[in-house]
Parts: sequence; C-alpha cells; structure tokens
Amino acid sequence: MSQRILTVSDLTVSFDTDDGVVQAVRGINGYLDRGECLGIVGESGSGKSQTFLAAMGLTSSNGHTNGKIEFKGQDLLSLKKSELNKIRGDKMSMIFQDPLTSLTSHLPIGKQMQEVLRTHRNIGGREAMAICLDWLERVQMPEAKRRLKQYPHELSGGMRQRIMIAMAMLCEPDLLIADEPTTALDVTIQAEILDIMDNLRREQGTAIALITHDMGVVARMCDRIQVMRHGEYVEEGSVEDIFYNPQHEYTNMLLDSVPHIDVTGAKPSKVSKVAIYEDGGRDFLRAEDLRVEFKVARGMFAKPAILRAVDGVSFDLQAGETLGIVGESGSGKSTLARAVLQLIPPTSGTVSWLGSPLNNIQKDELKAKRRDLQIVFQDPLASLDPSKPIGASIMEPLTVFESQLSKAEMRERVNEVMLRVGLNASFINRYPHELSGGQNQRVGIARAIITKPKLVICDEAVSALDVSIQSQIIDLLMDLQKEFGLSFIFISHDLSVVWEISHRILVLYLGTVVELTDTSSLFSNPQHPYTQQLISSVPLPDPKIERKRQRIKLVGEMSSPMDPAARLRFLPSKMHLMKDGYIPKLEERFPGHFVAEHDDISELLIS
Amino acid sequence: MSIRSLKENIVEDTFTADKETGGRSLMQSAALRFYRNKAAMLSLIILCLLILSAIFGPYLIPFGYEDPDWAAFRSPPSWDSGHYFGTDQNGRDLLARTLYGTRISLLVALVATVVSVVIGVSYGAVAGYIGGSIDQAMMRFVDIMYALPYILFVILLMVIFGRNVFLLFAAIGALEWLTMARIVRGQTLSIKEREFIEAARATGLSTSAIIFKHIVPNLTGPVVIYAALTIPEIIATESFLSYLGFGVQEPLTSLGTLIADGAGVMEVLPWLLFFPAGVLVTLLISLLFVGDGLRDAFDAKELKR
Amino acid sequence: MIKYAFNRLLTTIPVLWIAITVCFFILRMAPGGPFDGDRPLPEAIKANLAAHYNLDKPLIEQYFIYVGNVLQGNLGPSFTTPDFTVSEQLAVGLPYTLILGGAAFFVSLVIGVAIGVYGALKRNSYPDHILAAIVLMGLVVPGFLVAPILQLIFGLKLNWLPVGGWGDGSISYLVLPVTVLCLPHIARISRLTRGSMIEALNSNAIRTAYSKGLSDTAIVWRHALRPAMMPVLSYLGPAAGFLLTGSLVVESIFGIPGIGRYFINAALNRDYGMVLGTVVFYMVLIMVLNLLVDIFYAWLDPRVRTR
Repeated sequence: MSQRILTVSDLTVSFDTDDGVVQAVRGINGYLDRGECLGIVGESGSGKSQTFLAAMGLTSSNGHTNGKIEFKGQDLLSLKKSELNKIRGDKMSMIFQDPLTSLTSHLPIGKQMQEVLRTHRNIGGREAMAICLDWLERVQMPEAKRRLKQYPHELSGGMRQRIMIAMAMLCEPDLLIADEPTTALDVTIQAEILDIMDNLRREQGTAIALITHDMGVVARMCDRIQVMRHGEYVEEGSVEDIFYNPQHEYTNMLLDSVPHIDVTGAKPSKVSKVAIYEDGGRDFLRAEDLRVEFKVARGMFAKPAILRAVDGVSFDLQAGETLGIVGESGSGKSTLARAVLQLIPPTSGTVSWLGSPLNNIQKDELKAKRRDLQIVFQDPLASLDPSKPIGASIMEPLTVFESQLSKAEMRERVNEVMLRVGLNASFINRYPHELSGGQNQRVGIARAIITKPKLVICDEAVSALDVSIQSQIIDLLMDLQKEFGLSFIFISHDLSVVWEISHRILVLYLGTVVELTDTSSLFSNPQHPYTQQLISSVPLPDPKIERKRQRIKLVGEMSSPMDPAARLRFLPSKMHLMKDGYIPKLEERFPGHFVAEHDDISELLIS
Repeated sequence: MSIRSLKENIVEDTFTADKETGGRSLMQSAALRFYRNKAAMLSLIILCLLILSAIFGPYLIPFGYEDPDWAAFRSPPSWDSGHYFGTDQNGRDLLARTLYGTRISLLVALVATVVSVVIGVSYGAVAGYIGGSIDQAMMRFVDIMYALPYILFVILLMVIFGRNVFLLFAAIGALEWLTMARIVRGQTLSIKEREFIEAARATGLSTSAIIFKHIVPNLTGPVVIYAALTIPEIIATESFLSYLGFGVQEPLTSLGTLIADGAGVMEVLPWLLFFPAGVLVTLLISLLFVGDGLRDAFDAKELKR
Repeated sequence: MIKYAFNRLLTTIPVLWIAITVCFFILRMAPGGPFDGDRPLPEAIKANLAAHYNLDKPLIEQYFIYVGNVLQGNLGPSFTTPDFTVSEQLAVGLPYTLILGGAAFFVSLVIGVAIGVYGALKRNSYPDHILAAIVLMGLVVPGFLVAPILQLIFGLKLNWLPVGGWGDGSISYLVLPVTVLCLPHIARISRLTRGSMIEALNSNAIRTAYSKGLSDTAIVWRHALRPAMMPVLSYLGPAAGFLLTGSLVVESIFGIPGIGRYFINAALNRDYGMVLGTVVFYMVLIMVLNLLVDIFYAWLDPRVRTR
C-alpha cells in the first residue's frame, strides 16, 4: 500500500551570479512514497541537491524557485516560514555531507539534539534526554550517554554522522533527505552508516531521498533512481531498470565509467600486461623498512609526541608495473608516497632506485634522479601555480632537466605532450582557474610525463574528479603506461579504482602493511580481516550482487596512529606486548602473498 | 559550494565554446572585477585627481604656501580675490596650503607604506618559509610589538629624536609593518603547503627558484591589497600626530596640522577647518573604497577584518 | 581552563618584561639629558640632579633599579614636576581615564554589535546601506575633527551639553567625549560583526539549524551569534589599546584631567620619566586587558581550550 509523501512538479531553481542567471534545476517532476528509498544520482553541478534544498526552504538567498513541491498535500514553496518551520525537523529532516561543519561547534551534542524536541514536541529536560539517548543507541553510538555532553570536535567523522542521523530522526519524520551522507567518510564507516539508514527505513517506514554521486551506494540502498544532469532528469526508473536496462546514453556512460570490482578473481580489463624492461626486474624500485615520524607538539611544556605516520613499510616495484596502495584516512599512504620520492625525508629505512640508494645522497645527485620520478597530486587546481599559465607549468621540468633546449624547442615539446594528454594546444596560455578539474589533472599529468620519467606516483590522482572524468583520466594513464612503459604507484582510498588498474595491491593500516599481493588474489582470497572488511564494505554498482553480500564488521574503529593499542587491533592476543611497541609481523602466506600477523577473524567480528 | 560548482560548469561551457588563445590571469580577472565595481572606480578617479592636484596644483596657483598676501588677511573664500579657499590669519592662501598639506600627507603615506611593505614582506616571507622554531620566535616578537600601544611608541620616538618629518615617515612605517608581516607569513605558510610547491620540489627546482618563481608571485595580491589599506591608516595617524603637535611643524604643513589650526578658530574662520577637513575625509574615504574594492576583486577572504 | 589561563599568564610576563626593557633603553638612547632645557642649568645643579635620580650610575645599574622599582609599583620620578612621582600623578589621572575609556568601550561594543547584527540580518537593504555609510563616516572622520564640530553644535550653538571639563562628573559631561571616542570603534566593531555574522549565517551549521525547523530568533541567538562574536572578541584586546590612545586627544580637547593629558604634556615638555612611566603603565594595562580577552575567548570557544 503506497502512500505518496512528496510530489515535485515543474520545479525550477535558478541563481543570480556575477556571470548572470544560472539555471540549476530546469523543470523537474518526481514523487516519493512512504518507506521508499529514492536515489538521485548525478555528477557535480548537476543540480541534484537543489531540489531537496528547495523543499527544505534552504535555497540560498540569491536563488529563485518556481513550481510546486507538495509534502503531504501542502505546497512547501508557498508556505510561510513559520509554517515551514513546523514541518522541517519534524515531518521532514535532512542530513548533510560534512558532519563536522554541519553541527554547531560551541554547543554540546545533547543540547543540539534536545532543541529539536523542544521546538517540535515541547519536550524538555529528562524526558528529552531519554529520547535523545534512545536514538543515539539506535544509531549504534558507542558510549552514547557520554556523547551527550561532548562537543562535535571531540568525535570522529563517523560518530558525527551518526549524531546527525539521530538528530534528524528524533521526531520520527516521514522523509529523511540525505545529501551525500557518506562521501566524506571512510569506506568501512560508510558501510555502517548506510546500514543504519537502511534499518531505519525498514523499522520506521521513513522514506529516504538519497542524493549521491556513487553508483555503488545507490545499488545498495535505493528502490528507485533518478539520474540527473544539467538540472534535468535524464532517466528515471526502478533500480533494476536503471542498472540492467538503462535507456539514456548518459546513464550508460555513468555505469560504464564506474569500475565493477570482480571478487571472483577475474583480471580487470584495463590492467596492462607487466612488461619487464631493460632497466631490470626487482631492482627497479625497492623500499625497505621505511619509517616516517612526525613530532606533534602537545602544548608549551609537554614533550612532543611522536606520530609514526609510516611504520616499517617494505615493498618493491617492477618496471612497467602498477602498484596500488590502499588505505583509509590516517593510514599514512600519502606520506609513504612522499617518503619514496624523498619529498619528506624518511626517519629510517632505505629506498633504492635501479640498485642505488635514493635517500642520504647529495642534493645534486637526487635532483638528477628526480627526472625519472614524478608525481601527480589529488587536487588538480592546488597542484598548479595559480599565477602561471599552464604552458609554463608544463614546461617547468624541461627548464630544470633539459635547459639546453631553446625556448622554441621547449614550446614544441609542450605542444606535443599537451596533445598527448588530450589538451587542446590553444590552451597553452590559459590559467588553471579557467580550466575544469579534469583538464587541470591532464595538465598535472603532462607536467609529470614531459621528461619521460620511468616512475609516476599518483597520489589520489582521480579522487577529486567525477566518475566520467575519472575513467577518462584512468584510460589516459593506462595508455601512457603502454606507450612509455611507465611504472605507477597508484595511491587511493577507493578500492574499486585501485582494483581496476593495479597489478599488485598493498593494503596500509596506520602506517603498516596489512596485506600485499596481486590484485586478483587480494580480491578473491583476502587473508587479513581488515582487508576482508574493506572489500566487503565497498558498495558494488550491481544491485543483485550488492544486496546479497555479507558485510564483515570488526570490533573497534580506525583510531589515531598516536594510540599504541590501535596497532594491535587485529591481534588482541598480543595486547600484553603493547608496551614494547610490538608491531604485527608480515609473513608470506602464499608465494608473493604477504599478510600481517592477526588473530582468527572469528575473534574480531562484532557479535 | 554547489553554486560555486555550478559557476565552474558555466565557466567551463563558455570556455570550451570560445577558441581564443589568450588566457586571463588571476591578476587580470581581479582587475576586471575591480573595473566593474562602481564605488571603487569612482574613488580611484577622485583619488587620482587629488594626487594630481597635490603634485601639480601648487605650480598652477599664483600664491605660495608660506607667502602672506598683504592685501587679504582672514579673508573668506571668494571667487574675485583668487583665494578660492580663503586665507588664514597670516594672509596665506588656504588653497595653496591645503594642496601643499595634501602633498605632505601623501608623501608620508607613500614613504611609510614603502617602508612597511619592504620590512613586512621580507620579515614575513622569511619567517613563513623557514618555519619551525625560528618562525615561532619571529612571530612572538611581532606579538610583543603588537601589544605595545603603537601611537605611544611613535610619540616616544618623536620625543627622543626630535620632530623630524622624515623620521616620522620612517617611524610610522617601521611600526606599520607588523600586520603586513603577519599577512605575508600566513600567505607564505599556506602557499608553502600547497601541492604546486611540492610539485616544484618533485621537479627538482632549487629552494631559491621555488621562492622567487612560485611563492613571491603569489604574494603580490595580498601585499597590494594590504598596502592599499595601510595608506589611509597612515594618513590618519600622521594627521593625528600632527594635530597633537608631534608631527609636521611650521612652516611645513600637512592636513592634520591645518585641521588643528583650523579647529582653534572654527567659530570665526570656519573655512580654515572645513576645507582641509573636507579634503582629508574625501581622501580617506576614496582610499578606503579603493582598498575594499581591491580586496573584493581578489576575493581575499583572509584579509577581511 | 585554569591551565590555559595559567599558561597564557606565563607567556605574558616575559613579553611585558621585554617591552619594558626596550622602552627603557630607547629612552636612554635619547640625545641630551632631561635637564637640557631652554635655559641651561649650572653644571653643579645638573650633577646634583643626576645623582638624585641615579642618572650618574652605569646604564645597566639604572636599568635594574628601574625594573626593581616597577615591580614595586613605583614608576620612577617625574623630571618636570619633582613634587610628585609618576605613580602619584597617574593615580590622580587614572579614574578619569578609566571612566571615560570604560564607558566608551561599553557603548561602542553594544552599539557596534547591534548595528552589525542588524546589518547582517537585513543585508543589502536600504537601512543596511544607510547604516554602513554613517558608520563609514565614523571610521574616516578623525576624532580631533569630530570633537570641535560636536562642541560647536551641542555646546555653543544649542547649549545642551558642556563643552568640556569634568564638572561634577555627571553624565552630561561624559556624553561628548565618549561619543567622540566611540565613533571609530562603533564603526570597526559593526563592520567586523556584520562580516562575521554573515559568514556564520552562511555556514553549514546554520543550514542544519534551519533544517531542524528552529525559529529565526533561536538560530541567531543560540547558533550564529557566538561564532560570529569570536572575531569581534579578538578585536577587543587591540580596541582597548586604541581607546587609550584615542583618549589622548579626547582628554586634551575636552580638558579632562586623565592620564592621557599628563602624557601629552609630558611628551611635549620632554619629561622622560613621565613618558616612560606612562608608556609602561599603558602597556601593563593593555596586556592585562588582552589577557582577559584571551581567557574569555577560550571560555567561549571549546575548541581553543582543548588545543
């Protein structure tokens, strides 16, 4: 028995900007039924959030809305603010992407939750406290009671999002709008948050409008999907229709762009064959027992604490090979990349390159070697000097390594490489802020390959890009690898991207290697509980498979690298050795398949 | 947020549409935004007129700033006598004196701003780039200087070294550099952390090349804006000191000195107060609008006070 | 919290000490002694005077004597008014300056914040623009210009308020000086408040508060005001300093016998002892105010406290 909750008809949203009026939403129609989860999918700038921000009366002050949004028979757009205030937070509530900035920083959690009850139910004091506590427990908040007195900055990202959900659910709304609720979270936390939302929908019958860019999340959560582009719905239908029988070419393109992890052990199509070049096998790049420590100041008089960002990592890399490094935030993956390139001096350990060491050598010697070692960064805009046209940025390595070339020759080379990475040569005098994210990332790649290096480290190089752009950039990188025999170290938090392009994968946890093996055995036969949890947490963009999967939930949450107990999270049986700084040892369980010491997974599962 | 990404999309669309080869740098787009800001542009025009008349004005009028006109003492502004702003108790032409005073005030502002920019930028850039405990120590020193009541400090210096105009310039400039140093240091720190600096290091660029090719060019915007905002402050300070009797001395004059003189005889010779005051206020307002306009044009949030 | 306050206090002391030291040595670097007046004194008297004020001792010894005296609250002798020490003169002037400054501080804070919040809530409306223009005049028209104009209008022409002096200390004597002292601060505080309030109202946290269905008043008072006040608060330390320097002019113009007037007279008469004493006193006052502001700041923002 379906009951209509929300009907949107002919909605348009436009904004006045310096560059004239921008149409964010161009006349869309839609509806939402009780207990249903509707996915609104689109890339950045598609206007996917604006519909629901308009419903909540949150359109920014330079925006104009037209059309109708009916919520249980009332037109939200024509309501007076005081009337709207009776609905939002009560019958209809919303959670946002960034849970830290979305909570008021100077009020304790309990106060922020209570004011919802005071406003809509006129409940205060103990009674309100009890309801808040109840909801915190329902979103599986650890130590719920203590949290009520804490401030948002004292909690982790996952906990903050739980609080946002609990707060949104306090008045048991008919509709929960979730705007990219898990985008800022690690994949294991994302899995937990999604589970919580799914349960709420089942138990409360709350309808959920889930706004996201992630096809995997949609496949997991939604009954119905609306695909949005340039402010319009290009396609709409049940989750099966959209995933297995997409009609619109844009939907097709989106689905094609998303990497489909195959856990049966098949080789991903984009990975090239490993070619071993003359520079020679295992001596190409080798890191041994690499450590990076930072001092963290703890106030004026306290001794600084030592943060072990990278804690004894060893690996090697062959010519023409792609090594994927996966880890959640705080795993030290970016620090590892910089330590390999000597951008951050390692505290101890060695990196050797073609048989000779990279660390502890003369500046000039290192400088000469940098020609072969390049890096592409995460944020395409930040990695380019804003005061220089892109041509100058691309040319810069040439001025260092091939300064004998004339200006004209350099320009010629820049033109060549721009063409190679798919940039129009007429862009040469453009500035980074005039280009899109994808174009800027192509500039970053052009700069990295102009000296024909042997190794390129990609540090989250596609993470900031929309999926369609992401897949174009990945294709470009793979083409370059084939053409120049490049080796890649590909660092990402996104398992599916790493799966798609890596020959081997290294899983990092709090600065230590947890598992290292070739891609297909990592996904088909993961050994370490953490790897298993990680893989099971990634939402797959295939509803049939995704909904049948069993998720692995382990005790504890990824905590700070400052906490010595955190390193033994998967080895509680050796917790008594914590004081000695015991680190789980890496063992070769199968040929070429390294796994860190751990207790049996049955000991670690949440019962 | 979402609107920004929308705008980016628009930029992208229009961008791919036109096939021009020349790009627009951040500087150029800032200039364009400034050009569109009516208040700032009007202020800039008024400011230019004031500066031009301060430079060339004194040569165009028949009266010197210290020569009494024996035929006209305390004469109110009049078209016929040629004393458009009137004369003072000594028969000196007020227009000449105002133009001359404006010139001195602007000169003080210019010299003091240059001093503050030079000291502030080098101090801030060094502290920011070196970082660590040296940075801490250098910034602690700035904090100390901040805590000093700075006008008192200028007065202290004037008491000790006598009332010398050029010393005044330097003293004000040497104290105004503090904020500049803070801003430059903050900018340097944040630029240093940006990935394009890391990219330059990965490319093998030397430290000095990084500083001069990548950090300094990106400091220009904030420095220009802050310098523009410093000028009115210095002019106000100069006139304040002159008013108290610590600044510019007779027969030299500045707007502050003129106002101080005028205030004493406000009831009988009101023009002696109102013309210099009018010029000072116009000057300060237009400088303020130009500074604000620059800040908005560069969209420098961190400089909003 | 107490630990934070204690830490903050510990860092203030060396700063103060360095500041006093710098001032002392700069003054001693001055060309000519304090007794090189217009009429040259006989050498013998000069020497006597120097001995009396310890000026014949080595500089470093003078310095230690001075610091020791300051620690005991003795700011040394005044060279032009030998009957009173600097501390005694300051004690006479202090109440006037404190009342004037305190009143101005309070008034500019209340009015400035009120205008700023109003401007942020009604941004880009006509009242906002008009207020902004008025406030801007307060910022650019110097106090030494406003003061005579106000005296002329309200004192001489309308005869509503006394033109100057302290009189019996009644409010009517305070109105004009406090107004002159306040105007630039009302301007700064209101601009600051308006800017940070707009920023706070555009923040994600406020979006959440709206999505909870809270009323506008609840949102402004409970959620937006506090973060918006943080920049204003950090301005209050420097503002206290600006108010003190502003009171120099105001006290002179309105003939109020506060320490500002003593200071100006001392500076014009080159009374080094008095100048040094006043500067040291001002510095202590300003740093104590800064300290209080910082502690208050930490109390308001839970994130600073735990840092």
